[in-house]
Amino acid sequence: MASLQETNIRCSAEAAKNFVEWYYRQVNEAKPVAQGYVNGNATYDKAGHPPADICINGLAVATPAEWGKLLEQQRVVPSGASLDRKAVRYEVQCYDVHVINSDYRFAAPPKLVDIHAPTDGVRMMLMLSVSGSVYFGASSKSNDDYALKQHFNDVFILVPNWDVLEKPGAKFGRKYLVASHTYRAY
Amino acid sequence: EEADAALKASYPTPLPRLASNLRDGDNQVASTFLRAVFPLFDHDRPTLAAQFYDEDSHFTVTFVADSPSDPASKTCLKFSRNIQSLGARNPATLQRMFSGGNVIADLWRLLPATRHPSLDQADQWLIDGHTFPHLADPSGHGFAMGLMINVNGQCEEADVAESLFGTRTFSRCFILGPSKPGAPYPYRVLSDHLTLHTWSPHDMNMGGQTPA
Amino acid sequence: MAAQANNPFGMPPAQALHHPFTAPSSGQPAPSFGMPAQNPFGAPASNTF
Repeated sequence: MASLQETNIRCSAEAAKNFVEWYYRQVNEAKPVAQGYVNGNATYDKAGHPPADICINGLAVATPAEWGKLLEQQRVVPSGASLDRKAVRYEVQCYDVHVINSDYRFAAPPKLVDIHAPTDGVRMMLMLSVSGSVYFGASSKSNDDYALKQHFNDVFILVPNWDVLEKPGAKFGRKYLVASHTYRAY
Repeated sequence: EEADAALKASYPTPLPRLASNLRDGDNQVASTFLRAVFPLFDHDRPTLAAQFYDEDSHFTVTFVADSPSDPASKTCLKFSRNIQSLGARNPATLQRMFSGGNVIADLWRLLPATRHPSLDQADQWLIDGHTFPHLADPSGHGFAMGLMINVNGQCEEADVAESLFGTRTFSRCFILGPSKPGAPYPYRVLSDHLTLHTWSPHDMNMGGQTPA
Repeated sequence: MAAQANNPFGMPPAQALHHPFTAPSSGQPAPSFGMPAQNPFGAPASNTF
């Protein structure tokens, strides 16, 4: 059992690392994240996949673009204030990932189902949980380099990005897409 | 106060925090399941594993201390799976993945004892979740629905061996899917991930405001 | 395909964008397990973390 799972465990950890590094860099550099979600992916759209379930601090958000707007809104600094560093910074402290379906096949090109067994670490549905701190603003009165700190927890359900996996040796593009995103900060 | 107000105005506003958001289908599995899980995790972990976990279930614990003065339980640190610090290729990321109900129950025997507040104390819990498609049906045919439940809360923790008693904030994500034939419940835990971190008084009221 | 999916959870309500969590009332079928007192808690005097 353990040896059969080894490849899946290793590949899921690599996938988690790649996703986490990409996602939080985008957020911290105020770049869009929408392309990381299943929404708008032609292969998933064509097969009738529902839009990603996005729930932000208890608020169900319809599209990744709307989540992008919330992130933008969160970065707005009241007029008059000047900051010499980023208004909002996400700092990941820990993350972990589990394979929740090693035989994922929704919208999969038949060729990929044929050549990749459920032990190959390719056709995987993943649960990724990330925790860390969000830092807001800059403090003018203390030694801390922030004005407010919150704890955050993100849970993503990730599914394979068939368009990228189909190209042998693909080096570009995200290998996994977000099908569900649950965010909490407190 | 004026200085406080000026400071407040100089940093961006965190996103509004709404109460728990749970969309778990008309069988209300989430509330029934959670009502069983936390008391059993506190009082009888072997029974919890036997009732809801099988050979396909995965469990990991990730421990992260936010403060250098947090006297982390050595047991938690020993089993903590944090890919951020271990790295994706570290053999420990393989060793610290616990699969199968019996293996999970053995680990739970070693983890510190816990005491969670009652689920009726809504302000102590943030519980979000929803059903989702495209798990594998354990019969081997077709798709199955899953239920994701993510819990943020706080609990008391006691590591008797190390004489550590205190409160922790935790996040715990459960992925439920249909059971195999003959299981005690029609659903089972496929994935259970527990994150433990340093509690701060600020975490006290998890519930936020009720949405308008 | 979706209609045939194995689903022990029941269909989610069509318009359920926000459902606060509520613990089931006492009349609900909360599983009844024996609760042996295996919790070695002494009441913690103070927060050591």
